[in-house]
Amino acid sequence: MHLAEILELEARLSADREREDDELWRRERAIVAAQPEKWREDTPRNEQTRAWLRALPEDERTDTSGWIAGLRWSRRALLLAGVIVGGGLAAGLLRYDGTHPINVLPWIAILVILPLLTSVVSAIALIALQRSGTSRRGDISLFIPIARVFLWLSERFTDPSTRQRMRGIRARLASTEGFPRSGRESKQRKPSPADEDASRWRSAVESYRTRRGAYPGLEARIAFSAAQLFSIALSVSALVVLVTRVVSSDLAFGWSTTLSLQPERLRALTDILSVPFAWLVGHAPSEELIEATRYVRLERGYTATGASSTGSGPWWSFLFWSALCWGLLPRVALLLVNEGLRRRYQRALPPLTPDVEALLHRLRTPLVEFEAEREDPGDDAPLPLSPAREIELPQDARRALVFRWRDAAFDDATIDAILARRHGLRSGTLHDAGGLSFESEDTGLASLRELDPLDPVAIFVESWETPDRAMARLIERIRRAGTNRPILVFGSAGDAADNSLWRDYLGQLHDPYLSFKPFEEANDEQRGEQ
Amino acid sequence: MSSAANNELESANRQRASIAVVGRVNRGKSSVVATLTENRNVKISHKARTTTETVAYPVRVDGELLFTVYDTPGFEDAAGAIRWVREHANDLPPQQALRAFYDTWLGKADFREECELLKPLLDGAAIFYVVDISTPYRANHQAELLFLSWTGAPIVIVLNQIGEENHLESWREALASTYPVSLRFDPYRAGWPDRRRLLMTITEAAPHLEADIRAVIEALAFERQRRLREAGRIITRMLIAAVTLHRNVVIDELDEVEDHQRSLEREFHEELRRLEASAWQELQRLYLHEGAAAAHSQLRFEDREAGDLFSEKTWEEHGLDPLALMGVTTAAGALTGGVIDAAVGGASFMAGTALGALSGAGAGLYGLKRRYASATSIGQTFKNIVQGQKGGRKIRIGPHPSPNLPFVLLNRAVQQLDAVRNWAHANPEFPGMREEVIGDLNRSMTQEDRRHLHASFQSLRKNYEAPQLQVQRALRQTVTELLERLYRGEAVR
Repeated sequence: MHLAEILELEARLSADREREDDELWRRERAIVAAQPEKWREDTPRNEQTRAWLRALPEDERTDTSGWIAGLRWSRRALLLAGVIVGGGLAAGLLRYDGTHPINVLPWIAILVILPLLTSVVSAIALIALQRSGTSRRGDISLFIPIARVFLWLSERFTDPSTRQRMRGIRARLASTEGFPRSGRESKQRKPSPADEDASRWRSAVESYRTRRGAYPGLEARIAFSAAQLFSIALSVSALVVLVTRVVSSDLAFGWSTTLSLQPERLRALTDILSVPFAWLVGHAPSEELIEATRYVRLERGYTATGASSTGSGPWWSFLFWSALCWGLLPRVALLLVNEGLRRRYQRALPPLTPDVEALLHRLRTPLVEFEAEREDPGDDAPLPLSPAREIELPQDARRALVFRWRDAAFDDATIDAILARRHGLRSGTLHDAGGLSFESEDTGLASLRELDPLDPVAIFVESWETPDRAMARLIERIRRAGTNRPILVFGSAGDAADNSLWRDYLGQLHDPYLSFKPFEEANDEQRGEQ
Repeated sequence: MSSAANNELESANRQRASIAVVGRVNRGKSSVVATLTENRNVKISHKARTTTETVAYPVRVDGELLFTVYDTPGFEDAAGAIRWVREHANDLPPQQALRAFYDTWLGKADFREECELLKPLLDGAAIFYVVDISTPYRANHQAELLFLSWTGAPIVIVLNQIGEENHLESWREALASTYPVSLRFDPYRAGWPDRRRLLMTITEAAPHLEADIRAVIEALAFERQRRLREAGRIITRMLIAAVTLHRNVVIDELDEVEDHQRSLEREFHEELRRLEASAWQELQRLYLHEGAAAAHSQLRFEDREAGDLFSEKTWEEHGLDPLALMGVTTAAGALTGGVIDAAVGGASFMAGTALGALSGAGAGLYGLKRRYASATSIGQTFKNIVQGQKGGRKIRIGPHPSPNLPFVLLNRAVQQLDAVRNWAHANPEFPGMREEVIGDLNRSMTQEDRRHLHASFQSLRKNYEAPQLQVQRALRQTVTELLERLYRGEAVR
């Protein structure tokens, strides 16, 4: 993965942590539905993650170009700094005013030996970095003391208004574990905006510390490459200055030191340093040259100890090649190796962190959804205000036409007994209604014509049998067949809720001659009368 | 292929993918639909006519329709409908006669419900005919069954028992000969095995649907597995948050330290309770019980005497067995000491192992009963650093020191998970947690699991500011494996 992709992935995962799982599942499944072939179990993790980043809805993409541009610009700044430092350094080291020769020892020390040593240290660091693998733990321990010092100084040496202006930055720094806030701030037990800032930053810092543990060495590798770039720029710049000075002016080189460095020792050093290029260009300083170009400072000037300093020209090529071979090339090699390792490392990214694991699980696992196509409108009508009520039977009612609703389990004797005891009525032929056959119901309705207009119709129902439109139809047919004769609906064996359903349903028919009598209640009344 | 043949084929395809739940008014059709489709939004009420229109509840896999369950209004006048058909369309084949009936009465007040429930049936849906076996069978049900049989769709009789009485035998005797495929199904208590059985019953009535129904069941089982893994994630997240929870407060030098300590302790423990409640709610949401989640969690949350996270009873019931806890801490201590012994090439004569085991046992004993974390003042350190500046005292609490806390949280979360997994969606009341789950969990947890868990918790506690991702991942794996082991038998039950 490219750095931009890693940054975007981390930004997206961080934002996703605040979202509901359902949302994430839906988003991922929609992405998969668009290109199902990309999300098979055997597709490599990094390919899937990259494809996922590209497939994210536009409003969920995180623009990391600012970060990448920032990184690019900091690299350029480092390069420029290297050029300036290298050029300045070389110009200083090669300063020549004709009064004394250019001392080659500082050049060798600063642009050859020192880079060589730092390259060795860098190579060791690179090996250690490579070997350490995942052992690095996210830590910002250096940040804590710096933050503490800054806050302490700002507390001690700034006036209150300045501190107020610095509230934001102080809050961010104070969010670092362990730094005390001032007494005045701490008294605010209710969270202030600064406290909220601090809390947010604390959480962000903790999250960052956790997350960077997932990319062990990545930051170090980036920093390593940047350091090499700086060194390369420095060396190149110094070499360019050297060549420019050599070409554009007549320089004299010599060597001089307060230390007791014998020419033989320097010769040995230059011989060693010349090993990589001596075979190529044959420019190791000779013993004679070293002897001849040694000089010392006397009271008012410089005196060459050798026969002459005019033949010091071969020094410049030595300086050039040694700085090139020992200062520049190792850095180039380190940069190339590090970049190669970084690319290889990044190819294996993202790491299988819990967040990435959850993401891949969402991408690779079908989601079963249970939804209603639309909401059930339901019957939200309020209950009728006037449920079916009691009605009085006419005094001279003698006989009742009886229907047994939906095969209600009442035998003739029971029905006779209830009608006789409760209302002093005789029952006629028993008719069935509400079943598959309409024959009995039709016969019953036909017999209504033979009945006295005041005689009631009794319908025996089992209350647990919920009233429905078939019942309404029966009542309507009874009404169509005759006068406003009373209709008594006797319900039995139901509980209070069932009886209530019947009362409400019959009440909705708005028939003033329609009554519902729960059967149990009727029995009780009968017992009371007895 | 002719256009008619195409239509027939399309109709057949649609038929394989849908089930209409029909029956008389107030027989629990919507409850069956709610439980079958795991939908808490199905309107269910003891009031009659809660369902007034046919509503489709499609089940999709990644947006692709797997099958549809239709909730229909109850029959209002099946006998009247049959009479109309016999009088007006008697010479037509049954399905065409029903189509004529539908075309005639659609949009009219009479037979409105019959037309509504006919919609999916005319499109070829299979039929779940729901009856209430707490009421006795009556012959008039034949009107509805005859009406349904004219559709030509396979019919399964779903025997639902709403009330106390049981008239199962009368129903079976009456219907078995004509409609041999029936199943008892209690939508208020049905778990996954019951749902699966109900779906499989269709294949008895219509063997040609077997492949499709098996695909449906496979997808639903897969979904349950997916949710179990998600539950593992939710529980792990909660455990990590709880084990690494810590708070720091800076107070004025002159403030009463103890007051702030008590206050911080209260806040800390409330936060732990909130983390747990929040995870429970997430689990309920995962299993699509969102509508009922808030009320339930609140109830449990306020039940401080019995159900509170920090009650003695809770720790006794849900914490590790004292011996197991000591075993875990002793083994962890011995392991650490053993590493030291190994490092010195055994020159310590196993003293490291012995001392490690002893200190581990001591830590286990100490943490055993420690249900509450204490806040400590560390102000003096800061005074030294800033030398005389009125920097204030710092009070800190957490991470919770008890090795038992995460196990208490884990056990309670698993118990909650078990309850929501088996909570039928028709049931508005939380069914309660099964006590035996804890026993099942403990039996499925090996000593090695406990050691892994303990080691993960210790590591998280140690690196509470930046918990290591690999530890988080390992913990998630262990928790998920535990859950999968706990419910391994479910797939074949």
